[in-house]
Amino acid sequence: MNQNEETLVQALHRGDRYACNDLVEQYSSKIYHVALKLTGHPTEAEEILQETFINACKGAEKFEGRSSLGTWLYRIATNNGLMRLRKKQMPTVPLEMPVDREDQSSFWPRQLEDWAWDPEKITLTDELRQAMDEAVETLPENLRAVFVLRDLEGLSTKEAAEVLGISASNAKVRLHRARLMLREALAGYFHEQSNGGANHYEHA
Amino acid sequence: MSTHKHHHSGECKELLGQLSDYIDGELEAAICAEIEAHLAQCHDCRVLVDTTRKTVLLYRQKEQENELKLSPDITSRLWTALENEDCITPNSD
Repeated sequence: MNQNEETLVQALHRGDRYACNDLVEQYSSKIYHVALKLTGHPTEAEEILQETFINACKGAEKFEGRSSLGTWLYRIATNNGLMRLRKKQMPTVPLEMPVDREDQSSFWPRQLEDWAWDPEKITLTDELRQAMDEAVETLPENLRAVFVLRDLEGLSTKEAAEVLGISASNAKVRLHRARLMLREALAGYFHEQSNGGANHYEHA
Repeated sequence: MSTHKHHHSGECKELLGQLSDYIDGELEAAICAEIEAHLAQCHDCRVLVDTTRKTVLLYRQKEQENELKLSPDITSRLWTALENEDCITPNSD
């Protein structure tokens, strides 16, 4: 924790209401966006945003300083989002997922066609953006959570693992599987597009 | 639709297990060299590495386009909710 964060934590522990204001100012945008990516629904993301800060400001004494404030807030928001996804009976991967990297049988790639474009030279179209969002929504919740935190939010493996309360090696395996599933979904999309002749992306 | 006609050799299986770490640059140089030697003679694994890397890049590119600031409506409703719960000082915005 840096000094500013330590001061903020001390103020939160004292029940200082201005500290809660500061917490909201610093983290509300990040928390809303992680909730939106996790649930895919603006209304739910807003509910998670409000509940996260109400819980954090009212339960600041529960923050023990073992992680950063940001990680703590991410954890509250992510747990809230995962609970909502579980209620919708999303497909799940067992929490005790084996971390054996040789055991990849169900993740063998099925489609191996070249994507003959340079990612730095394409402009995303609305259709491709939608296909990408839909692909994320097909991920089992616990793979989705790691992907959102690690690849979209840019957290390190260690931070993402802390947020989710899992080991770093388990976080790596989940991220790997999420990427393979997304790759497969996008490969299907690009395959259909190239066969259908539609222009799924534009060269910049 | 074309499917994977790969023979799933031991080297291919090993690469699949290390793919994410390889893309993230988290493997030791000696292991990277082994992977690159395998990629030089395995077309399917080359496609797998390339398309997985492109998948991650596409999502990162899409992410960079997103508006990071919260809309005034969402911010206003958040402050109201926190005021109602007696968490913050009023008129914060």
